[in-house]
Amino acid sequence: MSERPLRIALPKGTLFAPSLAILGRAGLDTGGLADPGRQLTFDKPGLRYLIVRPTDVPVFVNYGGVDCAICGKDSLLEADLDLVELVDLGFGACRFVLVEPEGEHERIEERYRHSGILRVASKYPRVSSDYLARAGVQAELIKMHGNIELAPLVGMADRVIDITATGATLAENHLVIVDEVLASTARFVANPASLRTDFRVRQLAKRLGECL
Amino acid sequence: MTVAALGNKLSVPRGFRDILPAEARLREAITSRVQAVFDLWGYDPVETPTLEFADILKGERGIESASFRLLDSEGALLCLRPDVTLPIARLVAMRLAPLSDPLRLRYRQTVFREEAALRGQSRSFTQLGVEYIGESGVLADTEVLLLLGESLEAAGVEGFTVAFCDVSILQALLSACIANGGGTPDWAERVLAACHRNDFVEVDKLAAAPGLDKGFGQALSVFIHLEGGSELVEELRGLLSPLLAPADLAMLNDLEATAHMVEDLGPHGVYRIDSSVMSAFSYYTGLVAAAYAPGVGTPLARGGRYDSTLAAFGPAGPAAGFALNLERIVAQVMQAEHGSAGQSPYAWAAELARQSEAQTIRVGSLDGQGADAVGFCPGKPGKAAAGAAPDLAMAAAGAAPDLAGSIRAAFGLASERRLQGQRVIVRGAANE
Repeated sequence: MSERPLRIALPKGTLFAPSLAILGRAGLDTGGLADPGRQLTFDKPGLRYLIVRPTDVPVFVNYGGVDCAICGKDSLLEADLDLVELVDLGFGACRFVLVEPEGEHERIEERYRHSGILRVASKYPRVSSDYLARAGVQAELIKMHGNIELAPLVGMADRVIDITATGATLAENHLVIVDEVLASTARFVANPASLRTDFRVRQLAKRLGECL
Repeated sequence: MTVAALGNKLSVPRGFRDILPAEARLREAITSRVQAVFDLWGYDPVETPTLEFADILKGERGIESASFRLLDSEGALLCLRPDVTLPIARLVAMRLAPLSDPLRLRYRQTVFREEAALRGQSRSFTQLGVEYIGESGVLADTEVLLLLGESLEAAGVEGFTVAFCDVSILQALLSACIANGGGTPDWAERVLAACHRNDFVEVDKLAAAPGLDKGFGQALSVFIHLEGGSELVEELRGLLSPLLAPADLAMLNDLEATAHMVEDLGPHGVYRIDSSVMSAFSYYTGLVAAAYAPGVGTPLARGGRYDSTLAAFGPAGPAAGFALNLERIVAQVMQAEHGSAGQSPYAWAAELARQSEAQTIRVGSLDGQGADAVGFCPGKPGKAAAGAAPDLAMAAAGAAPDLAGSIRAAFGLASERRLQGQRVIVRGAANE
């Protein structure tokens, strides 16, 4: 088994740099990855890195395209796939929040009282519908792919469920937080079969746990 | 005919597919080898109806919501069987109870389950499985685990791991947390739910919950990450003995004995105690097992002990079993980096058939109430009931001379274990 490189997926974007840092601290060779350019795979002795879109990380892990990965809890929740969550890496903290345009609260509440339904836009339909069901809110979900803060500004949606780290983007767009949905951090995750057939996965989980 | 006139005539429902000759050959070869192994261990075939009353699933969380349902012309609510264990429990209660002897049943049946769209998941798959009904304890669990490993070997799967544990350990620990450690029933439910989702980060967080006694929390956190061989049980004992009542620690002795047996008698390095396999525990009451192999992310086989399931249909009784997923095994065998690589399914099917012909003698499970022993031998159908176990070869000689020769040959080469007086399990191959 050990002749095959251990395959690790890393998410592009904000989690990428801290992921490299912690893998480096755990003793893995991450040379050259810091500035990957357009290269999507990197081979090191006994290792193969794949650089993928954050929302695709759970898919790669679940279908066995990689043995393990670093992935935000937000993407894990939205994907809802069968994989094993092993270590909370602590970095990449962000929150799912329910937001609305500044000063619109009364109008929206009033509308909900009369029309009986809210329109909520989100890039995360699964997390959002779970939250709305829990909160007992009857809502129509509008699935979007980006720049979701536009939806309430043009009256397409009453509220938005989105992710925020610092709240800066929300403030710029005059959006205020109505409720906290849930919090997220980066996790070390593994394919269920790789975890049970390749000892290197557990070994890496242990080392990462010690690097925190 | 235009495309429009054909409608759905040229398609199949999502998650269903045709199986073409090359793959069908391979499925047939794998099925017959696995069934031969089941047969060797004395399991008799059964078949249950494709349709059951939907009532059969009542109270079975998960399975109930995953089933296909339909109304027949009389308005009865039916389901396509999503599982074979429940229909067999019904069959046993209706047709075979009360049991005087343990029952060993095997099956090859298609099951049907709803799956969300766009996940590349099939909505029907083929299960090759066994149910061992009316027996519990170390020997019964060992038999189920050994048979699981042997059937995967026979299917041509390489590099697989059988991860197993006992759900009653987690249940006892959680009960103790509630009784003495400041845990609440709601907290315990959340721990079980997190285990079920394989979210061990959440289990760690719950183990560190305020109000929970530190000793209990640490034990839970350590326990849930444990993985290893039979030596692990000693570690578990050290971890749990300060927290659990002595009576609750008894299952550790059974787990240890089972682990020793499967390590000694099974293929090397395959069996691992792994506390992370305890999903689907609402169903299981003791042993729980899942087999994994490189390249397929989902388990190739799953099983365990469900001692309370029979009681839902009729007289209560212990039962354990497992099911192999034929589609996943075919996928694993065809992509694995071994003999099959680059071969067509036809060639691999022929290779499997050739291996079957090689004369293998295994003396399978020896069961009964102490004094009885039963040997199984491939190519010589039927069981030979033997007398006292220590003199198996001699006793078997009286029952079937040919079989006796085979068994004697096997004895010469096999490893032998004696347990609980006269109960013996022997495993070996004459041509090894």
